[in-house]
Amino acid sequence: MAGEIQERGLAVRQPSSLSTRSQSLLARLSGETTLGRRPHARPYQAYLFILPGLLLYLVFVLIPIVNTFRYSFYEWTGFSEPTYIGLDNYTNLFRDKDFWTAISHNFFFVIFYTILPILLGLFLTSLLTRQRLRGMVFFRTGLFIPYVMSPVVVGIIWRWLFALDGPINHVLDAVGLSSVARPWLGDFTFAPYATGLVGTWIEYGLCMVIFIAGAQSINEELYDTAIVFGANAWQQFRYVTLPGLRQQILVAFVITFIAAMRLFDLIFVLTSGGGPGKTTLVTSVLLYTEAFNQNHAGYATSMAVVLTVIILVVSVVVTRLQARSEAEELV
Amino acid sequence: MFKLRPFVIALVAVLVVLAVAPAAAQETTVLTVWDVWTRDVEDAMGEELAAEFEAAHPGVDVQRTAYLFDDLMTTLPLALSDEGGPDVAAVNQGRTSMGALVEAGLILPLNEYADEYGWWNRYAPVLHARNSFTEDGSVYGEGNMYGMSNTAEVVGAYYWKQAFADMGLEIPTTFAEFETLLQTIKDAGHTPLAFGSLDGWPAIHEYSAIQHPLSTVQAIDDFIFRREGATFVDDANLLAAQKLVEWVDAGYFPDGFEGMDYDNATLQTFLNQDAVMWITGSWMTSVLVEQAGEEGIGFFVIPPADPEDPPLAIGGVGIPFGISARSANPDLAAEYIDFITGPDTAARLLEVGFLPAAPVDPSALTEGTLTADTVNAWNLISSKNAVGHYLDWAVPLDDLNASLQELLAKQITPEEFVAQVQEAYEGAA
Amino acid sequence: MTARRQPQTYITYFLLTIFTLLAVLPFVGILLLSFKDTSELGNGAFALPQVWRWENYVEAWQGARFGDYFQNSVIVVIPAVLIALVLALMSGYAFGTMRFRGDNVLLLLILLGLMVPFEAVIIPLWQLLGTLHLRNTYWALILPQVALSFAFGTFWLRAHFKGIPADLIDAAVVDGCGSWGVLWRVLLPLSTPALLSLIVLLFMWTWNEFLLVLVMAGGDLRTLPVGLALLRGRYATNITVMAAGATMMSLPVIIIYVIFQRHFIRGLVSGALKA
Repeated sequence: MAGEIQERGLAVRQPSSLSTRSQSLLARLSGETTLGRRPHARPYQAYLFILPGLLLYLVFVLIPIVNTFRYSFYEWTGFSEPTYIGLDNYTNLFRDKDFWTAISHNFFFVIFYTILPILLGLFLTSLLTRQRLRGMVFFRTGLFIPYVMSPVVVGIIWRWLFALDGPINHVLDAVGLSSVARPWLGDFTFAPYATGLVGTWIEYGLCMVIFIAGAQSINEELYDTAIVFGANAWQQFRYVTLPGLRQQILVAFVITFIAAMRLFDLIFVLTSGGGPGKTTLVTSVLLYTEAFNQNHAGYATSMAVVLTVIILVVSVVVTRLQARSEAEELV
Repeated sequence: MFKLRPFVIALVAVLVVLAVAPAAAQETTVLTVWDVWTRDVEDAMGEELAAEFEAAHPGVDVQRTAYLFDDLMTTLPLALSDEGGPDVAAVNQGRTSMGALVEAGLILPLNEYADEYGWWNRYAPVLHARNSFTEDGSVYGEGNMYGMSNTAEVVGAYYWKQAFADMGLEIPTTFAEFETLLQTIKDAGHTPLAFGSLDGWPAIHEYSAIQHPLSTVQAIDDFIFRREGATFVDDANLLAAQKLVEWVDAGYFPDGFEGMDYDNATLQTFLNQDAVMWITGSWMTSVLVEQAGEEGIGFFVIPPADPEDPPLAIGGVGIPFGISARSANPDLAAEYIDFITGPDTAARLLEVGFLPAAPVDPSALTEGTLTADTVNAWNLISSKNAVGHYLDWAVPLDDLNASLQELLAKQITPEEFVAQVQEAYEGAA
Repeated sequence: MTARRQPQTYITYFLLTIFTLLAVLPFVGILLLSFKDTSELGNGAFALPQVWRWENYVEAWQGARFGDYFQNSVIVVIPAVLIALVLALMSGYAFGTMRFRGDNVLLLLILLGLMVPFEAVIIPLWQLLGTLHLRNTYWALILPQVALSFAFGTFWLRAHFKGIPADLIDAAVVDGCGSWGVLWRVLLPLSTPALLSLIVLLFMWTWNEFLLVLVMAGGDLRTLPVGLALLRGRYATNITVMAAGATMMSLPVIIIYVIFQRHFIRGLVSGALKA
C-alpha cells in the first residue's frame, strides 16, 4: 500500500510493495502503484497528448538508434558512401585489443563509480540508524555538488589537483611524504587509480544521500521488533536497514553503473582521452576516436551497439534479480 | 494642361531606383575561411589579412574563424560535406585527413590555379608532393595538388645561448657530438632537455629527432607515402627507440616528465631555464621571442650521424589551405589563397614569428636572432632536400602517442615499440 | 522516540562533515584559483589570493570567449528545457492517467531511448541533422536534447501522476473539466515538487552536455563545456583564467541546484525509485 511517510527532513514515497504479480518487466521497472484506473478520457485523446513529443523522439532518438544498428554492418567514413560488409565490423571488434582494453577499463571503473560509493554510502548510513539528524540540509547540499557539476569542470579541477606541482603533491611534501608525490596522471601505474578516485568522489555523495533518505523512512516498528529479539546495532543494520534499502541500492547501482560504462567527458579532459598509453582508455573514447579521428564510422557504430547491449543486459539482469529477491522476501 | 505631378512621381521613382539598385547590385559575397591561427599574434594577423582582402575586393565579406588544430581535424570533414561549410579551409596533410577528403571528393584539385598563379615555384617543388594525392585519394605524394601552404616548419633544438657559453659548448656537427653535449650538460648538474609526454604528441618530435639523423630520406619518404616495401621495422628506427630509452635512463629529461603537458609545464620549464634545450618545432619561435626576446635563445637542426650527409629533420610545409568542392566561389577562394600564400604575406608571417614556406630575403633578417636561426634552419634542410616527416601522417595519432608513452615508461621494449607502430601503420592502410 | 546523544551521533556528524568537506573543497580550491595570479600558484591551494583578480574573469569572458559560450549555453538550455517540459507533461499525463491501446509498447519504446548511451547514436544523428539542413545551427543542439529529455520526463511524470488518486481526477471530470483542463488546472498545481526536480535535472544535463556539442557545433555555437575543454593553445598556459571559466560555468548549475535542492533531492530519490 502506498505509504506517505511523515516528512522527517526527507520524504520518500514508497512504491507499493504489493504491486501484484510483477511478471511484466515493464510493470517492474515503472513501479505500477494503482491498478484498474477508470479511463477518464477517450483513448484517442491520449494519442494526441503523446504525439508531439513522440514525434520529436522518433526523429532524433529512435531513428538514429535504428541507423546505428544498421551502419554497424557497413564500412563507412561518416561522410561518403557506405559499403556493406556484413558482420566484419563485429569480427574485427572482437579481435581488437584496444576494444577489450577499453571495456575492461570500463568495468575497472565500475569498482570506483559503483561499488566504492555504495559501500561508503551504506557505511555512513549504518551509523545513522534511528537517528534524527539536524543540519541535513547542509550536508545534502554539499554532498551532491560533485554529481551536479559537469565532468568537464571535474576533470579540470582534478587535473590541477593531481599536477606534478599541484596541491596534492604539495600536501604530500608538507607531511613528509615526498617520496609518494609523483605525476599522478602521467604515471602508468597510478593514473587509472587516480582517475577511479575522481569517479568515487563524484558518486559517493549521491549514494549517501539516497541511502540516508531511504533509511529515514524505514518503519520504526521493524527496529523495535529487532531490539526485542535482542539484535545489536550491526544486526539491526544487517536485517532491518539493509533490506529496507534494497530499492535505493538498486537505483544507485543502475545510475552509477551506466555512468561508468558511458564514461567520456571526464576521460577526455582528465587524461587527454586515455591517459598515459592506453591505461585509462574507455569504450566511448575509443568509439569517438575511431569515428572522428580515423574515419571508421561504421566500425564505431558496431562498438556502440555492443556497449549498448552490455548496459541493457546488466541493467535488466540486476533489476530482475532485485525484483525476485524482493518478491521472495514478501513470501 | 501640364501636369507636374506625374513627372515628380517619375523622378522620385527613378531616384529611388538609382539609390537602391547599386546596393542591390553590390550584394555582398561571403567568403568563409577557416584556419588554425588561434594564438594572439596569429589571430591578429589573420584578421588583418582578411581586412586587406576585403579592401581590395569591394563587395566581398571575409568571415574568418580560427580553430584549434585537433578540433578542425574533427570538424572539417563533416563541415565540408554539408552546406554552410567553409570556402577556404586549412586541411591537415596526410592520408586520414586530406586523403580522406580527396577520396570523398570534398576538396578541389588546385592544379589549374597553381598554373594560373604560379604556385609551383613558391617553394621547393619537391614539397608539393606532401599536399598531393591521386584523384581517388589512394596514392599519397602523386597526382593532383590539393593544398597550398604558406608556412614551413622544422623541428630542431632551441637552446639558451648563455648556458652554452657558460659551459663552453658549441653547436654540434654530428649526432655523436650532440649526445656528448647532452651528457656534458647533465654532468654539469643541469637538465639537458625540456620535455613533457603527458599530451602524447610531443614525444613524436623527441623520437624523430633521434630517428631522422639515423635514418635516410628515402626510408622515411617511402614510409610516409606508403610506397612498395615501406616498413617501420628497420635498424635505424629500432636504434632510435633504444636511444630514447637510454636518454630517459640517463636523466636527460626533467623529473616527472610523464606528467608534464606541452603548453604549460614544458614551456615553463624551458623559459625558466630549468632545462637548457628544447627539441620541438619552429612554431614556438614566435612565443619564445615574445617571452624572451630575440637574443637569448638560439635554434639549430640536430646534426646527422655522418657529417657528410644532409641533416635530416622533421619539417615540411605547414598546414595547407584547400578549397571546398561545395564552394560557391572557388575562383574567389583561389584568389584568397594566392593572397595569403604570396610573398607579401610571407614577410608578414615572418614578422609574427612564423616561418614562411617561401624563401626569405636574407636582407630582411638580422643574423644571430632567433628568427634568423629558425629561417636558416629551414633553408638548410629544404635546400639539401633533407626535409623529414611527422610520423603521425602515416600512423594513427592515438596509437602512436600511446606506444611512445609506453616506450618512455618502459612498459614495452624498443622491439615491441617498433612492432606496435608497424602494426598500427598496417592497420591504417 | 527521542534521539539520545550517544557518542555514535558525534562520530556520525564528524564523518558526515568530513565527507561533505571533501566533496566541496576541490571546488573551493578552483574558486580561489580563479582569483589568483599565475605567480601565486606555488602558494598552496587554499591560500587566499593576494589580490582578488577580477581580471581573470574579464579575460575569460572576452579573450577566451566565455561570454560567447555562456550565451550559447543559455540559448540552447532554456528552449530545450521548456519545450521538453511541456511535451513531457503532456505525455506523462497521458501515460499516467489514461488507458489506451499500445500504451505498454510505446512506453517500452521510450524506455529504450533512455537506456541506449548517447555515444551510440551520435554518428547517425549527425548524418540526420545534415539531411535536415540543421547542422551548425542551434537546433542541432536543442532538438536532440529535447527528445532525450522528453523520454526521461515522460517516465518521471508518469510515475508521479500514477500516484495521484483517481478520485481527484474523476471529481474534476465530473465538474466539467476536459482532459486538457484536468492537466493544467488540477494536476499541475499538485505537481510542483516533481516538476521542480525534473527542471533541475533537465537543466543540469543540458547545461553540462558535452559530446553532442563537441560533434555538432562549429566554433561559434560552442557551449560552455566544450569551450572550456578545448581551451588549449592560447589559454592553456593560463590556469587561472581556465579556473575563472570553470567557475563561471558551474555557478548557474550550483545556484539552481541550491535553490531547489530540497525538492530536487526529494524528487530524485522518490522519482528514481518509481522510474
